[in-house]
Amino acid sequence: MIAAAVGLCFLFALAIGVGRRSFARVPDQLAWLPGAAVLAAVIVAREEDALRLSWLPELGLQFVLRMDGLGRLFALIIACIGVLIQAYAAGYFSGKPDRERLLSLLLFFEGSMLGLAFSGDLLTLFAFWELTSVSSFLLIGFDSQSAEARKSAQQALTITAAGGLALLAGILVLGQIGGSFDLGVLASRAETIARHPSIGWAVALILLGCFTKSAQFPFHFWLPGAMAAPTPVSAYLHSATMVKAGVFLAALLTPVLGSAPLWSESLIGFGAATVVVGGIAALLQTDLKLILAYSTVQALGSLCLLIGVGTPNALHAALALLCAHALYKGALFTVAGCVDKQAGTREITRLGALARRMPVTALAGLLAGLSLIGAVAFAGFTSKELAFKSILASPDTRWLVAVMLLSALSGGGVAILVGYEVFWGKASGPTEHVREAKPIMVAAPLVLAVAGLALPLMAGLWERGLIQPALASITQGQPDKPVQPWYGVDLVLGLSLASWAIAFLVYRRHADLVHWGRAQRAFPSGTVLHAGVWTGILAFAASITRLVQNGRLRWYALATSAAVVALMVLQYAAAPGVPRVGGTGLQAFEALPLLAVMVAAVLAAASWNSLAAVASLGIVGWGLAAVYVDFGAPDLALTQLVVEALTVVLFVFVLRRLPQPRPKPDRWRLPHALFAGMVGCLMAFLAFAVTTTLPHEKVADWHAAMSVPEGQGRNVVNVILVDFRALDTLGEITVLAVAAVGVAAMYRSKLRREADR
Amino acid sequence: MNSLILRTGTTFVMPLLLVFSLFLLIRGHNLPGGGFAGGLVAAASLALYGLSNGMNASKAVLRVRPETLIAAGLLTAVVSGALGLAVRGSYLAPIWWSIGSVKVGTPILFDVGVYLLVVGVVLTMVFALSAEEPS
Repeated sequence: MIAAAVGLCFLFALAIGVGRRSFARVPDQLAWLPGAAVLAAVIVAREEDALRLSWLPELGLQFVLRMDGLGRLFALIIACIGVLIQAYAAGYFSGKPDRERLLSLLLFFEGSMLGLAFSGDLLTLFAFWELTSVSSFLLIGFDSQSAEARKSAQQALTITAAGGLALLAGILVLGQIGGSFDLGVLASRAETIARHPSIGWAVALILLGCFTKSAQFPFHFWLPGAMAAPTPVSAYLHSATMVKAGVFLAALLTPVLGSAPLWSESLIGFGAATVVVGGIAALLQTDLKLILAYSTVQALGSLCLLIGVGTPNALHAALALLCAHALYKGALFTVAGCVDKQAGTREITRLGALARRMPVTALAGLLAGLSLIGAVAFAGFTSKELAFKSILASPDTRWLVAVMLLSALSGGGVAILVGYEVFWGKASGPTEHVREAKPIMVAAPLVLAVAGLALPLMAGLWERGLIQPALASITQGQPDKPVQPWYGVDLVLGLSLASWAIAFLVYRRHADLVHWGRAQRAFPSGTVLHAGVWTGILAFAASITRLVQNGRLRWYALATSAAVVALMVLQYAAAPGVPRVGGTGLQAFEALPLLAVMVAAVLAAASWNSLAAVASLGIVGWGLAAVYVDFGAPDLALTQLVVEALTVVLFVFVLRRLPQPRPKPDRWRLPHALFAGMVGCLMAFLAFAVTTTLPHEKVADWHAAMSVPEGQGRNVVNVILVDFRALDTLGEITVLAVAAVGVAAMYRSKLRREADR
Repeated sequence: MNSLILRTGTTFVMPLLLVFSLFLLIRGHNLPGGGFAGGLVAAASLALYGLSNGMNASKAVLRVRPETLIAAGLLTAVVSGALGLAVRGSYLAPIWWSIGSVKVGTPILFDVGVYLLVVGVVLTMVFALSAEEPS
């Protein structure tokens, strides 16, 4: 069922994509059924039904889908929110052709994400990791008519794909050090891996992948840009699931790399910086989605930080935060989507007093906001308490309390802005036209928000069913306290109260903060830097192309032959001694065709008349054919003769279109002749060297001896072509086919262009 | 090229050359010849016919577009390799059958693919390059 869950997603994505017309007849209320089937498969999946496919076992390459506690928790989040978001998306794009396209892409993404969660092998994981980047690109650029969306999609792709490359390099280094790509095997060798002198490279590269994917500072800027995607996508990919992939990978590798140098320092350092940057930036925005996006950046920073601390308590808190954040942030995003759709704006300054108009959405927003601010008995409260406690428990990490406090007050500010201000704040315009969103659309935020309250109330189930198995797969330790809706009156509760008070002050002064934020333009944003680097790379590529691909045929010929000569001379300079060139035993009558070939070659190069040059080339070919016959290669001679005949025919056609007579020589003629001569001498020397020194007799003898018994043919040349070396021949005829199609296409397009003129 | 002698001559020579090309293809496994040489001869015969009688006449003799021959040839070669994969577990592994004293096998099929492809490649280029310039 593990593989079935992943496969079902791709299958549904394909089916909806192909059968777009038929699926358009499915009513919005039922469009979430594919997602529900996937969720059912995830729920009934058992750890025993792992899928292991061996692929190149000699290199230890395999495809493994398996499920551990962490994978199950992550997969459940993906699949549950997936169903809700698909229902929501159906309502969001109801009746438009975009609905099918979006659902298909969402399922494609869900499949990639589930594959990532279930990967038991680092290379398998990498493949799914890249698939999530690709689907994210397609979904951010969903509105392909918008230049803004295309630019954001490209920015997100370059950042995450660059991180993906780093991740691949890191995985390969780790695989070399650990001797396997299998996560189970790697975990069992964690101690030797952590002591390896090169492990720092693996850690740095893998973390680079995690940080870009999970929008950690300084790569965080792509995530607010990704808000160009439709709101269902933002809620699903860029808040609840995909951006957590980096955090998930960090957690997954904690048993392997947890004790390696750099690991926890980097996670804590970058996580803390991200919390600060994201937390402050969230309070300076006025667009609902941007507020939530920066708040997501801040939450991702908190998750990294907790995983970096790495104690059982901190990991426990990270898992609780993972659940809580997916619920309240998913709810708030979908709430923002409903408001945007119904009220026609996402600008917080133009929204207010919508509670009467959209009561159900308002309720969902309020509940999710309460969870985000950390109100008692909500999932957000539990995760915040656990996070503070785990950090206070160890003296090394106590300084992080300041960071966590900032995170709490930023979360509080965001919660008040999105969950309260929009619905109960002062109205800044007429609200009479606003209606409640369709039931299928308010279902998603409501269910998510209520789940945020239900989880702590069913704390036993949450702890034993989800968090404990996940914790057990990344650490052996046990947390001090399980998840609970209430932890009593202590220091942490005091800190929470303080953060609420400051959050309320921040909310009251929000307009001033936004004003202050707008004034801080001196500091270049990541988007600007990214655009600069991007333009620079393009300009560099263009200048290289102009230099190398300058459209002059003779420059290409010169460059190619110069490179061949240089490489071969270098090779021989490095080799010990020049091969001995033996005697040839050339007979007088054999010298005749060779002489003809040489004279004709010189004539071909020197002649001013194109036709004479072609005829001279023909003599070269016929002379070679004579040499082949002399050396007992009738096959070659036959082929050579026909090729010569056809070449002349083709040349005649081409010559019609060349300027007559040939252009006068210029100053390049001598260097060209020099290079041509060098290439010719080198090839002649090589041919001599090969025929006189290499043990070619053995190869030839083997082929001659095996031709009849193995190849069922007496013509050795042909047996080699179609049997012994058939794969080479297949490659050659493929090249021929491509060349012919290329010639025909170029020539026809040229004719057409001339006809148009 | 408007030459009565050439036109009359090629009308007789072209079919002979085509038969000769098949002869080269079939005997190639034991004697000089083979799919490559055979294909070149067949293409040359049609090119010659086209030179004397006009390329449209040559295209009419060929009946199918040369691009189709390229595709068919490549497909034949790939399929002959796939047969080896299916029967002997290794791509392009040869399979031989004896029909009386004659031996038939997938390498022959492969050679037929080469033959078709070479005819197609040469004629594609010849037809493309001989296309009349727009005036």
